[in-house]
Amino acid sequence: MKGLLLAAAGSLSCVLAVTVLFRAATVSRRAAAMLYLFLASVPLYLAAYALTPADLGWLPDRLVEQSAFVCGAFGLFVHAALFFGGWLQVYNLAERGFSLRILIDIDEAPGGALSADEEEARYGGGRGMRWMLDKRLEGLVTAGLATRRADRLVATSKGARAARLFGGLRAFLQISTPQ
Amino acid sequence: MSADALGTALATGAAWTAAAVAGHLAIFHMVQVEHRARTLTLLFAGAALATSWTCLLLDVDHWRTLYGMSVVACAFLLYMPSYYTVAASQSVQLVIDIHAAADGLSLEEIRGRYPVDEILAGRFQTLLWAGFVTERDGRFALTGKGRLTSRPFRAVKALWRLGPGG
Repeated sequence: MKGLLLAAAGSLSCVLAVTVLFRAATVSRRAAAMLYLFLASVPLYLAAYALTPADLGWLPDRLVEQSAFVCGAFGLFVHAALFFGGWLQVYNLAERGFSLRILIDIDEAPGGALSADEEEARYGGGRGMRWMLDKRLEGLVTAGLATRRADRLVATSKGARAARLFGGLRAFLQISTPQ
Repeated sequence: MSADALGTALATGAAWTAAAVAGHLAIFHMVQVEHRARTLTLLFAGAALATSWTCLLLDVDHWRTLYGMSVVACAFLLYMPSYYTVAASQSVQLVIDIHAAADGLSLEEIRGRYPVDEILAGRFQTLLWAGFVTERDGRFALTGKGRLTSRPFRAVKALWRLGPGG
């Protein structure tokens, strides 16, 4: 139980730090900043685990683990899962989610309804749908997956590997249309 | 309390998680699945129940059984975003298309392949099909499910000062 409780505390501390950072400063690479905060929380979790008693001073005996290593490793796994599968995904969806942006646009529209044409113009805070495509293309270049060559986008070797991997997985899983 | 109870519960959760992943790969490979997200969720829910059942058979106490089930839950948290990156990411589709073209693609060619009005129409169909929006006279409005999704994220965007995004 100690590992789980410290993982929960670590996760809450992590998201609190993210909130303070995002509200206090203008952060250009937010996902990287979140990752650094999570990485900083790992030694703090380990230190808290090493320095606190097995029962945290109040846990009943039946909730105290015999194997401190297994309990500590389990807590660390939970902490990592809450970050990578939880907070970081919340951020990714809020910042990049296509469907979510559409839902929010409709929610914020006067009268609470939009036509497809209106959404096309309103998308991304009024930048429009074409901006969405440009943003993703720019993201591919920034991530080193594609490069510009004579006004054309060409896959880099990293991009080629990613294309083969994801293309292979999509074929294997029979995914032809996004859902 | 047996010193091995926690290890047994965690190993059980890990084993059933592996079974859920194997089941996902096998089912999706063999059958064209229509409700992909639901199928994946059911597989992991089944793994959590199987973990509980196995722990019961192995005489693991309730608390450690919950830990075993939380291994499955955490794996689900990690697996779903990975799966959706493969299945639904537009960036992934773009890099696949750029790589497939012998000389790459120009911006005009990419825009020709991804007409924004068609992308949007397709996504509205998906949102309709999934019950997030309703359509009336060519206008889309949120359902209760759509509002339940939109509102928490609006709050997160405001709290973290994220801007419109998309």
